[in-house]
Amino acid sequence: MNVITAVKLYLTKMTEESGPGMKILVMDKQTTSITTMVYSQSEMLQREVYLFERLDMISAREPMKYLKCIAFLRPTKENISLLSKELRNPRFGVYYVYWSNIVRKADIKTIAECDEYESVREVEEFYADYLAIAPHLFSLNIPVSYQDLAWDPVELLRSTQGVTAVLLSLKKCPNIRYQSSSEMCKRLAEKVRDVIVTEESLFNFKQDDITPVLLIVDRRDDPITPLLNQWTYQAMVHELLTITNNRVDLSHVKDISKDLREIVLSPEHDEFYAKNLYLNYGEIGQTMKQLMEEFQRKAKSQQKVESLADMKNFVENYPQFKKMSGTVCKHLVLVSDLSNTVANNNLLEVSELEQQLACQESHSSQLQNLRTLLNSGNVRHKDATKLVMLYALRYERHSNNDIDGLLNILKKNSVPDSFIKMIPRILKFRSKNSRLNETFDTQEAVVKITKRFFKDLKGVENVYTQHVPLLRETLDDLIKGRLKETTFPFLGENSAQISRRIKDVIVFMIGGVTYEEALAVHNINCSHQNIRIVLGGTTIHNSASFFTEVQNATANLPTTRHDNRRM
Amino acid sequence: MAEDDSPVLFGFICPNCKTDLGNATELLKHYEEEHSEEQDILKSLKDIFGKAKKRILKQDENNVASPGASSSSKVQPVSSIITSEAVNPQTIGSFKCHTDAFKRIRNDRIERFSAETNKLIIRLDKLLMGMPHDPVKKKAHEQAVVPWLDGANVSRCPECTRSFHLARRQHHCRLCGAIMCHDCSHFLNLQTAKEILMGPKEQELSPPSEQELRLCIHCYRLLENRKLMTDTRNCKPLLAEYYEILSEFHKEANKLTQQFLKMSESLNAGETMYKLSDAQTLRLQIGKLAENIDTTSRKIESFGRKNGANISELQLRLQSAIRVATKSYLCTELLQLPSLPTEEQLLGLQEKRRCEIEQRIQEEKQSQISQRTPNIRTSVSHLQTSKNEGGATLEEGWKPENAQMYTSEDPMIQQMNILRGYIKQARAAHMYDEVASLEKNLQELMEEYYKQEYQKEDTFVQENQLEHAEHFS
Ligand SMILES: [Zn+2]
Ligand SMILES: [Zn+2]
Ligand SMILES: [Zn+2]
Repeated sequence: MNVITAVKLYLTKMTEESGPGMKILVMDKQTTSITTMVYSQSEMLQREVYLFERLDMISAREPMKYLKCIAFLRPTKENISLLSKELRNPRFGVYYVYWSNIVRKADIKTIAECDEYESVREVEEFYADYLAIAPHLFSLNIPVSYQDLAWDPVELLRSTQGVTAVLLSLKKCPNIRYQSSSEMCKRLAEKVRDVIVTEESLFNFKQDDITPVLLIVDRRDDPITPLLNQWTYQAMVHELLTITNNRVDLSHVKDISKDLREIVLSPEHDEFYAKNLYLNYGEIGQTMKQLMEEFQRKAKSQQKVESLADMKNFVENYPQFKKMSGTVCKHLVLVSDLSNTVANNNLLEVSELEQQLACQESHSSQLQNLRTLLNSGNVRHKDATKLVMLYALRYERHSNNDIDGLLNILKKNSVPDSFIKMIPRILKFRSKNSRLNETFDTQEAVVKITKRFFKDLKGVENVYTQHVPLLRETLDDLIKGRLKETTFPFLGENSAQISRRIKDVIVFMIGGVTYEEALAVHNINCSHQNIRIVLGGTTIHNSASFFTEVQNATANLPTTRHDNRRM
Repeated sequence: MAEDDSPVLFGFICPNCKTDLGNATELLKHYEEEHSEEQDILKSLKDIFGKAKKRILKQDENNVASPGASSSSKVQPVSSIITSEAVNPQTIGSFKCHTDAFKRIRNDRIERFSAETNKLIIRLDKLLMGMPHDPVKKKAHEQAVVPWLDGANVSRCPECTRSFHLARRQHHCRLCGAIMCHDCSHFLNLQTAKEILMGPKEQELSPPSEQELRLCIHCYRLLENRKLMTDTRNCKPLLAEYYEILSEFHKEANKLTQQFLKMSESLNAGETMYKLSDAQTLRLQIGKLAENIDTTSRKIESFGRKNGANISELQLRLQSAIRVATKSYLCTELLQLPSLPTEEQLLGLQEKRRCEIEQRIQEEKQSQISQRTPNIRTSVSHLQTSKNEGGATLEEGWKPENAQMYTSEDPMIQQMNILRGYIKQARAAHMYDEVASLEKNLQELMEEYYKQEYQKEDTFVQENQLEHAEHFS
């Protein structure tokens, strides 16, 4: 149950099946991302893959018949026709064609009829049709899934393909459970089941006695998590700098050196990052310091290169030395940029209030704090907007709520209109019968929060990390066999006969997951020897990309400011 | 507090009077004012807040404000999770192969296609065979091979549908006899036609012919495709040739490196299986190979860069990539071999090992004392089998040649001489594992030989000696 391994195994097989010789890897936009997430270019070079090209951006037409072409493509209409064109006039000697998903028989025929030069050697389906971000985390890179709060049909298809590819690559044929309050969850669940039924022979795995579970949930049930500032390394980098396909743009940093303008943050290839991505902000500073010291110690010992033995030592250590100095620089720049952002934008204070709004019940004092902070003018427009969004989500039904007053403060601080509109939008976006409402409306739920808070005081958590994503509770319930069938029914099964024992779980969240949720799943995996959970989403959100998602999801819905004054 | 089983209320509730204070600060203040007599509870509450605050506000040396949560220090790095997958490594996911179906569809199509092409090739051969120079005779010859369509009823060119008239006359394809206009005709140079028939190498020296064959588009395309296919099959650019050389070097280097690692590990452990000088030679050999690899990859990188030859940008990228890959291979694989001990160090290491072994033997001696019978027979038969394997099982590239004649009559001396020859050859081929095992055999053989020489003087053991001699016959 490791999605990185799953994708890697497919890619390794691709490079091996074509045997020795010079190779070119031809991909489309998506398979390029899929590949670069798990394999570095230098690793590919060692496998004799020397060139990488996009099928839709072919640079030259002259033939290079001594090259073997590995084509790794999604089975789209566009790719079928581009590949047909390529084969009618082949530039390379032989072709090994790998589709990242189930391909139609008719399309196979089309391509076969174009291969008059008989240059194709293999045609296979390898289900590496998703981006593996961590061993337990995958994404489909779909920035916006909703169209008027329903499926965008294109993205429903892509999500179906992505989820089935995950199942096939991990060899799991699961029972499907979905969030009953979300029509979209139900649609996706049915689509996935349809594929399992029609491709019965593909899903015919030898499985162990505990059937895996595919759990489909909807972001709309928990719009709070993506709005909160995060304090673990990976989540912070994503929130403050944005991670796109393992890459971070640092070109805004003053006097940045050329090779650090865009950096790669891949747990597969950066040991420091892999070790520390879940550490919090304070700890990462400490680790940084240790790393620097180690580096300096090494650097110093290598400065006195006097004897021949010293030289030899230096040369023998050189690759590691170079690799290490690169790592040190990269993370040093990254951490100091993060700490600047935190300090310059008052993020600690913002975060404290965010957590209060998300986890505690105290309307009047929170409103007071919120007003004070907003009026201080020390808060970025984006953070101010997020705070009011959290307040609105929380107290929309509170009889004394002052959403209008807060909106006025935002206006007074010349927060752009597009941001201010996010407040009514998020209220539209939040699912009407979501558990969020229960959480804040019923006494039982609040008791839960209180309990948690007092537990926190005993040193388990602190004011910046009180919030626990809803997903964690859902998964805890699932593991304990307490997840209600009214809220998470089984799809089409006679549920009475289904065992409640849990081993392998694949969770898919429509509308994107967050790194906070990825950490929660990681923690569950660590604390349960016999349970493996893989988490995936249409995308990995930070608050900025979540804004875009919500904006698009509610684009055509009426969003007058007074919508939220219903009661 | 909240852990009690008594009904829990919500909010920041005072544990004493159950008032909801709204937030933590208020709760503390309230507690201090209203319940100051219950000092110990207050103290513990304060402690808890203090600890949390300290943790939150703690600044570390890098001036990074730390909202650290102690919980995360319990977080394990991704890599350290031990899962069942560590025991049962994950295997490749499911996949589906369409190759057979694909080839079936393709073959159906190709068969039609190539049958047609072959028909054209046969006709082309007939056309070129004894083609007369005289235009009239030539025309007759052409029509004898391929009858031309009667153009009487054809008023338009079937290709472009324009009508024939005085200025646009009918022409015939020489391979299928079809009718077309001049604009729709294609011309095949006779030289090219010969190349299609016989392959490009046959007539390297003959100059390009002036003569051409008029063809329709369909025949022309079929022939052109055939030519492209044979061309690419036959032509091997310099780059590909050099890459093959490079790959051979790589293969050789990998083999020798593996061997070297084994030897250096053994030597550094103080074992006497391999000779230090052999390992040194091997190291030099690897160094030479590394140089060759380096030069070859530089050569590949430089193709067509100097004289601005017409080389595509893609090929240049390929050449650079090969160079980059080679450089990193050299750095990580070939230039980082472990060092060998010096002669002195080696002696020290061997001495140390000997002492260790002796000590172990001493410890085991007591229990083993009864079974101490030197098993000559097995040692000899072992020698024989490994001698037989000598020629058969050595890896590719090396086989002992039975070149020398051995003069001694004594089968044992003969045997030893043969072994010495093998060792020499094996060393030259860098088969150091073979050298080691052959040398071990030689050692055993020599011990055995001296033992026998000694025994010859003892008349009581004749029988025994005969028995051994049988093994060498
Ligand atoms: Zn014409
Ligand atoms: Zn013709
Ligand atoms: Zn014509």
